Amino acid sequence: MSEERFSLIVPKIKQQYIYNLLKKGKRLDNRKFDEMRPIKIKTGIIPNAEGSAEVHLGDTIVLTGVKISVTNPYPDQPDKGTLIVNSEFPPVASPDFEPGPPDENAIELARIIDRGLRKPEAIDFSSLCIIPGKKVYGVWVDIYVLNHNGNLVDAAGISTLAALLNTKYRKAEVNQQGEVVLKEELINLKVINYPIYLTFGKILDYILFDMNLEEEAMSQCKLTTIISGGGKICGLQKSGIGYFTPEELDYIIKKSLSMYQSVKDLILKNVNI
Amino acid sequence: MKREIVLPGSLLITGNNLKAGLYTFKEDSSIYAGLLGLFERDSIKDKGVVNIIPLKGKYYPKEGDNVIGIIVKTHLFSWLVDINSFVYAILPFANAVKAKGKKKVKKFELNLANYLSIGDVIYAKIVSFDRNSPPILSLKEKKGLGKVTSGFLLNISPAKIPRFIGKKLSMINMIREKLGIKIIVGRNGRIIAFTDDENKIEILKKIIEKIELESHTSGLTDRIKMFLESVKNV
Amino acid sequence: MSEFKRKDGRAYNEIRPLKAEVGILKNADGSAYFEIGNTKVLAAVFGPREYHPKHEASLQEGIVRARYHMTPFSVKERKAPTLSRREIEISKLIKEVFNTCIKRDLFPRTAIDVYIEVLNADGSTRVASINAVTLALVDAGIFLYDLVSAVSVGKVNGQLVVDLTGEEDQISEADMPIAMMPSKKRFVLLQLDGELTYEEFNSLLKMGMEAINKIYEFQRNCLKSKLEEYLKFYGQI
Repeated sequence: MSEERFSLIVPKIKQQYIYNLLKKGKRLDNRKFDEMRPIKIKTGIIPNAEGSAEVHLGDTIVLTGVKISVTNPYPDQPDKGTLIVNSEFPPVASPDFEPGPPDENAIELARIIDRGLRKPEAIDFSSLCIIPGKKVYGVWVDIYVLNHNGNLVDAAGISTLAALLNTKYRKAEVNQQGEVVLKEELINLKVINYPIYLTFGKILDYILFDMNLEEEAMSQCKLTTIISGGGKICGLQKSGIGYFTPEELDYIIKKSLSMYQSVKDLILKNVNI
Repeated sequence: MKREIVLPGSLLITGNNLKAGLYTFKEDSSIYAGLLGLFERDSIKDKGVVNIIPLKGKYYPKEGDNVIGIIVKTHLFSWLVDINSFVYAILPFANAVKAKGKKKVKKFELNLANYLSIGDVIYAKIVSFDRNSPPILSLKEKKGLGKVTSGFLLNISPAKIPRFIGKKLSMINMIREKLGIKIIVGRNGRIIAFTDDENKIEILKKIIEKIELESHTSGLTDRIKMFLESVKNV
Repeated sequence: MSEFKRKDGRAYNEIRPLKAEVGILKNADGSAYFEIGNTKVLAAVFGPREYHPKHEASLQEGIVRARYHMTPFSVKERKAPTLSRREIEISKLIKEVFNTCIKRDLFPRTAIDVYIEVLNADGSTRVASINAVTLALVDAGIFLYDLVSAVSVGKVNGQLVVDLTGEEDQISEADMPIAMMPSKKRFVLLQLDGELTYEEFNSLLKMGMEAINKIYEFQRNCLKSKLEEYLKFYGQI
């Protein structure tokens, strides 16, 4: 960030007003503490991508594109497809974003999303093998934040899941020379586990779900939980300067587990597969 | 009054004695629009300045304007202030703090953060601004200026502020009276309402939304009055 | 010539369907989405705002800076997200287009930052970007001498055509992007990659200008209808 450009400063009188509201159990946009902003999902909007989804979470907009191409497998997983998650905060999204390579925040976001996909095997990676040890499909997930109004992780998570559900790639065959030939026939990407990313923040002693940008600027710290099918916690990330007490952690984890199904249903309802 | 929607490059009028305003330009003997806005053909007077009413745009600082600023940085002997414009304004220490009697503040003891810090809101007057230096603010020019420590901050396009105030303060005074609250208005598109009553703030937000959308229509004050009366009856 | 049909069924002088939306990104001072066929572009404008680094600012006027960028998924083979030499050149040209068309002397020492993301590329992305940026600048309330409208023309299989698709561009003998301030017929961008005779160049220029007038009309209607929506709903003009 350049010398004299400032990240969001919430005026002190506004902070005071928001604190007073919180004490009354209210938020500035009239949501409950554990209420998500309205979501809107558009899929298949990028013809050149194998899968794509644009997600609006309130005023936060995230666009994810999935590219699939034939590549070499990782040496330790010769019969599985590869996955690379990349995230960019392009300057269109906020007056505070500068052009340039991904900064620590964009890299953190990509790594959190990656965590919900890789180990829990959100994708059936074995189905992406073409020639074991030689050729597999590689999945590239590129996450673009188009408008930043807080809680990028959850929005990116929804957009990634929706884009993967929307992904179709060309069938591969191996010819007699042992070369990989791509056919016109399209295959749906096998998404077998649906990771849901839920981020909570702490302002004063209150735990809020799905904070907007102003709330984020006022919050001490955040905790993202990644819940996968079967009600398992498959990833956690605490970020920001601040701490959580054991009671707060317990509340967030329990809340996340209880919210998993409803949030997942909400996403699936909005994705037209 | 008939108003036309004009766009950048729209030919407004041709004539030799005409002058371009802030949002229009002259080429040969014709005046063209530079922004998306509304043009009142009937409003052209003998004086010959042809202008349009812009619908968007940042605040253009003017000497003498009262503005609502947010402190964004503390320098050694001044503060940098966001006034919702294309430049940051400067509030020098001497324009902010009244010297108490003859006791002078010793510079090496001075910590500006003790007076104003990042995020503080001020109501200030622009005492100077020109092309070569940023706007200079003062809190000492008149009563009522200074640090604002409570209230609810609202935003409106700077171009709509004149409508929010109304002719001879008609609109703002009516709103103050009907809602029974104190309101201060910054020319730079910021408004502070002094109340903790969330309902009143909701009403004020709706009024601002109405003014944003209808500011180019006539009879606006009456419609806002009707609106205020309708919510009062509920 | 009139019987000639292109792969997508268009006539030689026909542009692909247009779609646009103004003011879609709330954080930006102005923004627009512009679509021509399968080429989809997003533009955001920030400013005028303080110029950084300060020593590069101009005391006389504001300066437009531009960044044209293609998302990795916008093309068939995933593109690396870092700026390529091609993107840097296009950014420079777009910056120069808008430094020409904006009245900048009201805002000394400031920057007007123009950011473009190509979401899906199917030819003519730089001209689509210029059309999008124009809408975003008007949305931001920035002073323009005229709207800027742009189109690409070229020669494909010996045939002169307007608005090249990605596929046509790949096999074309010549490709010529044009941008204009249409009401005064001023050219602000002109490039040519390929060989043309003088006559071909003139025909293409004429075809380009006709197409630009259609795009100009589309942009005007798009901005006006946004405003008219308000007026219809909330009261008379």
